[in-house]
Amino acid sequence: MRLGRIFLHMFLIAYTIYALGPLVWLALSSLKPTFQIIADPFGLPAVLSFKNYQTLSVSRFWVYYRNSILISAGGLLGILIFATTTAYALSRFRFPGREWIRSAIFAAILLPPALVVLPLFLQMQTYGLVNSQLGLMLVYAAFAMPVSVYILRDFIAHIPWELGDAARVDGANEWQVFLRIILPISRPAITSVLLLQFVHFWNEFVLALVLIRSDNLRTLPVGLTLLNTEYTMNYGAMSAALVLSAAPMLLIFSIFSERFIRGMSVGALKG
Amino acid sequence: MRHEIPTSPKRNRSRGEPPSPQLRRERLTATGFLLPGLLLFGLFVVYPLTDTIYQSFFSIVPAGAGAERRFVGLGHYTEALTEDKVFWGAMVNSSLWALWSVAVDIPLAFLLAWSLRIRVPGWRFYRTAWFAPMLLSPVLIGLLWRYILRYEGGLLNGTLRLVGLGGWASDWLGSPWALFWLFLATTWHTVGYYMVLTLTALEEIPQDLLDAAVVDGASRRQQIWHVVLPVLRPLLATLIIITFTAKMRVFDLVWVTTRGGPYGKTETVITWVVQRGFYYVGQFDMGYPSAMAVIWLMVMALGIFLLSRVLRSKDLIEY
Repeated sequence: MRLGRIFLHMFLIAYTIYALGPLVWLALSSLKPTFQIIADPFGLPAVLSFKNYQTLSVSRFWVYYRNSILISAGGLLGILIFATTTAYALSRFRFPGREWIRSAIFAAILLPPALVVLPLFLQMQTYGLVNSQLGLMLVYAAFAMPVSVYILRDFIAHIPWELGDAARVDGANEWQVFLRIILPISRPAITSVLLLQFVHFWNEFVLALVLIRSDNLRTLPVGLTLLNTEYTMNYGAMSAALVLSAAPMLLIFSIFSERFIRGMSVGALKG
Repeated sequence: MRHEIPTSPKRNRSRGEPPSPQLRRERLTATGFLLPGLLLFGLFVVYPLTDTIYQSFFSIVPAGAGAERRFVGLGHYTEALTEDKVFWGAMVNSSLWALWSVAVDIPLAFLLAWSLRIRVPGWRFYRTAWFAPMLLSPVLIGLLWRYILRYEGGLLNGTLRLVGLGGWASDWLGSPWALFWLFLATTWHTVGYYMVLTLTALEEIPQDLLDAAVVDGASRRQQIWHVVLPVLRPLLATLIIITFTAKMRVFDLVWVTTRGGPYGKTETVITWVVQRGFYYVGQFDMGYPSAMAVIWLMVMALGIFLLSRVLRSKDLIEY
């Protein structure tokens, strides 16, 4: 019994080293010149220096960064417009083919975008949306629809019907009920969806790789792989780039950790 | 879309009767809510999917100055399934990945979640620490693990040299063991997520159920067996399905680390589809990669269907 406990604690500490070690090493490396990373992988920086971060300030890193913020924001706006209305329609109205539409949307949760990226690319070409940030935002919003609609519809379906009736009696139409009553009440679910999809958008790789062609429009994940080729030998600068690109996620997690974890589990466990 | 007739849930309409103005207005409203989202979904998700299926029966062949599309039936399918060794290797790799995940990640996640449930000292810190890697993108994970495993200035070789095993230092991602290191990277990435899901379920076990087991004189281990496992079994089914789907779609991590190399040893189905679709030397032919994509979608759908049937029915029998 006692021995078992000791083993458990040793194991937990070992796992923590495995989980955090790479991150700590990365953060330390970002503060060290490359020669010290090679000579002394575990040492603290000889002098605290942000030279690696200064290197990035003259690279395209911040262009990628800005593009990622822009495209994530556009995708989230798309979810706010398209997913909330669709979720409301699927829970409020009854019409032939509703179940069919619903299953089709939910089944698409399993569809990996990479498998259909070829025809998608050709189709975007005919719309003139290849190499367009607007195009990428729309595609992101479209592929985020299944999970978002799933979570939102589930929440909206549980809102008591009567809440809207008072407003309807007062002559409000469905859009007013939706905007003034349903959306404010659904804020917890909407926040969860937006957090979850922000992570997806910020991290998305294959669609951005294929659909964006010119360098000044690229997003961070693709940009990082390009920088990695450019700074092949500058380990310090690349470490700094990785730290900075992970920063928004870590920041959001530290602010919203409970909601974040709940948002990530809700979609999975209800399945 | 136009032929869909939205009606209010509480109202019924007999056949043949012309719709009242009220009903017509409501149909219009419903369409207004539904249409934008369906249009977006249809254009960017459904259409590419149906086009993938359609293209898989065609080949683009040179004809005169240009190229023309020629119907080849199931030709691409038979080629992929009978001649393409890389495709088979990729399917094996993806399956091994899923097996690794079920055999290693899920038990690990259960152990970690259990120690959080019994509130080991420092559990709040542990929870954050274990979950943290989950926040990083597969691209970032890929680059980070490339740095960890690189020959010069990598964390692994650095550690080996530090403890006097410098002779073992190697270019890990260029070795036949590359796939194993990528497994380890995904484990590092995702165990925190599975742990959080498990913990959510464990927190729902009422405390008095745990207490009752203690009063009955059950040892901690029996407590685990008799109280916790029945609660965890449906979760286990969910986790197996989640890990299965996640490992069937691995792309980013492999693409930024090994791109399927060395010699196809780390190829996954999706990296091979993208490779053949966009980066293959020779003519541009989307038919063949589309056929592989369709095969893989069917494997995924069948796998999920069978897994949920087997796992869920087992629950019914044992309860």
